[in-house]
Amino acid sequence: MRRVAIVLVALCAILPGELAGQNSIYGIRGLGFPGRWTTARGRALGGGPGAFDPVSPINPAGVAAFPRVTVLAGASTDLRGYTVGDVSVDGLRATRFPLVLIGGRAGNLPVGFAVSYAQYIERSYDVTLTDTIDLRGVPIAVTDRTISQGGISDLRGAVGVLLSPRLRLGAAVHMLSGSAKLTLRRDFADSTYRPYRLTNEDRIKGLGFSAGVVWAPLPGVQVGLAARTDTRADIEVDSTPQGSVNLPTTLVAGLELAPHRALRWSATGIWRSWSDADPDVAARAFDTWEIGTGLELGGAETGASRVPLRLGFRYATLPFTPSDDQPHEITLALGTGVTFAGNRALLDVALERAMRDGGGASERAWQLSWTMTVRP
Amino acid sequence: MGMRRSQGRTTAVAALLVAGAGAFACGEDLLAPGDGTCPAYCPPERVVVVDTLLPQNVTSDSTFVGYVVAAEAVVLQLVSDSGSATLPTSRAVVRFRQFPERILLGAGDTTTAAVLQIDSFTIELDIRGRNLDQAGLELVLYRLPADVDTTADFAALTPFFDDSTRLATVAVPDTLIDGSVSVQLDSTAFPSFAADSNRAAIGVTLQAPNPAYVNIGSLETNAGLILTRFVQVDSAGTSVPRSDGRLPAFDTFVAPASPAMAPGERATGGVPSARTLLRFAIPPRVADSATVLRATLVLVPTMPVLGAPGDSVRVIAQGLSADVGAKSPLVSVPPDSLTRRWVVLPTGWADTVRLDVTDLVIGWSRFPARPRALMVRATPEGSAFGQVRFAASGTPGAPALQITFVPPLTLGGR
Repeated sequence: MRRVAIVLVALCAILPGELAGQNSIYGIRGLGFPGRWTTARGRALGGGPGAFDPVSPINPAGVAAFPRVTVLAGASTDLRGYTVGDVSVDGLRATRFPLVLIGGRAGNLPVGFAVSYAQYIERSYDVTLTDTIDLRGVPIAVTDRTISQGGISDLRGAVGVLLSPRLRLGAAVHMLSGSAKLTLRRDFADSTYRPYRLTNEDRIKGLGFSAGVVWAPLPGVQVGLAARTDTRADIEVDSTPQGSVNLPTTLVAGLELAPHRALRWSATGIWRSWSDADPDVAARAFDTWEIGTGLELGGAETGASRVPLRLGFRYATLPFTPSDDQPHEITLALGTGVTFAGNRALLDVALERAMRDGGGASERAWQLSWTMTVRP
Repeated sequence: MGMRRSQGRTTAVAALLVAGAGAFACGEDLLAPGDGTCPAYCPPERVVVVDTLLPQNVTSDSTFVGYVVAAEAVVLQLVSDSGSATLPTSRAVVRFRQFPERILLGAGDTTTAAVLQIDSFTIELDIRGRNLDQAGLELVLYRLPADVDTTADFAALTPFFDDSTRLATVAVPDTLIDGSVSVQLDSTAFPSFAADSNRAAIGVTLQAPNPAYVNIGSLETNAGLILTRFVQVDSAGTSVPRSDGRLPAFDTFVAPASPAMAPGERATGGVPSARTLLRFAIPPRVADSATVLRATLVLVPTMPVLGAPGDSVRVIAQGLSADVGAKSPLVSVPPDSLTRRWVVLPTGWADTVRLDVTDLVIGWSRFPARPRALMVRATPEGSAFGQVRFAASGTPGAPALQITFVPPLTLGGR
């Protein structure tokens, strides 16, 4: 058990530089593709528990629910393909570590805390383009390859207070920082032209503040509300200021019903004002809505079954597109989890099928996520 | 016991899941074609390639002559007399080292013996290049005054290339490209050999049914002509045969002077070799911030390339490590870049000459202290009559740089 904890803590220490989230063709233009900020359990439930989940960095009030120290790390892999016009691409694959969290309770006080590292925006892509240009009166084939590796990460420090068994309040500070290594290369079929190579490092930094409340008006009923505002983020390319971009305000609302100890239903809606960034990006930026809901049956902690079954559905609009047609995403999810080491370690897995359409493109992805949680 | 087994199974399942996820997650492949998806679903940055000709950017140009003279050439170029005013006619001149009065009796023996009489001579020549499409080439050997030296010019030596001084004619096998030929001369080939203190000199011309050339090896590359003397020596009262050979004391080749350069003309190559130094002013938009993809030096010939019929001249532009004028030290060219950097121009070539100078112009951008100048020269120098005459700056067809570059670009657009 101790070994597992040590491994996870070490993982947390080394991962931040590698953190990244899901990739998508809808992340090439604009700021990138927004991260999911949730665990494999949350993904399996369509993001439904997001407004209450202590291990999800969406509502800081959730951290008041930590019974003891909790360490969590997750990874996600997607297999993806897309279609734009007559072009279909399959077999794209990426692995990311979208969430790391350490949380706990402050002694005997009714105060919980958490430090988490999540993916705010992912901006990784690798696009190759062939063309023929006329140079010195001769048509010459060229191949351009543009690579971006990186994104923006969200380092959150959150504190939650358990005001009563029914009411939790929380607040958090978010440090947004990240970089993307951008590489552009052009190779000419005629070797008398030297290959063109350009590498820039794009850095972005900003701040965010969030606050939330989780209220349990009745047994088996929880309501979660949260709000978050992010400042303008400063952008530098190779240490040269390149301006700034507005980051969105986020509003979150969720409801959870647990009519039976082995049955939970949850739903969370999230609105983000991504259109604030519209003047600052070349692409179109839209406000986004996200509605996720999920049903969880059983689970070791319910006593009904050792292995839970989780089903989820999620609908989300996407913020960035090159056209006026805002794309959207529908996700169907399935998941489960196992506990071991005397219920001190949990492994949750989720399998999602994401279907994204709009803006003249469509994308399909299988996403496999897993989260390891240790409560020493 | 049952509980422990159940926990073990759960742990094993967890381990399998993690392993499975790891295997599934292994590797990354984001590479996707942009053809058909751009520009909508491509990064906004575009590579813009600009190609520009900079004809007014040569700030000075000068031709300097005399880097390698014929007596220092790596080959001696013989050109047949074609009767044409535009094609050179050249002759080799070789003076052999002095033969001693006494020669060694045998290898490893320090005893020398007096030469009683000369039986014969042989002369061996090393062929280093020729017209591949010409047959019936012959080398004609003449006896020259033994005191001939490197100052003798074509006109002064012409009287000695006469039937009265003709020693021999050596056929060059039609299939011979690189190899030696030899000829035997009788003992009277050099009548004044003894009077000339055992010295001899010869001249060589090329005789061919059609205009042609042959390059023969020179002293500079240890491939010079060899004169071997076959003699009888006195060995304890007995006459025995012996031989010894001599390499040239000097070798050169002579030809009528090339046409004089006009004032608006620059040259490179020829014998003695000429180089042209060009200095440039590169616009800041190219030199300071652009990425150079290709740079070409464009030279416009003022006349067809001079040279031996069927021969060619190899021309290259080299950078300077310091600009001190005619004697500027040149930056060496990496061997793997040579074939890209030089051009081979056949005699009679009259079209525009384009030399790749991409490495040089990139170097000027990266190292601003490096002289923005280059030297155009033939390689090898001084060994052939191939010479390019081109328009000087300030005249029509002035030297120009054609540069293909990408203006400054910053990634990170959204």
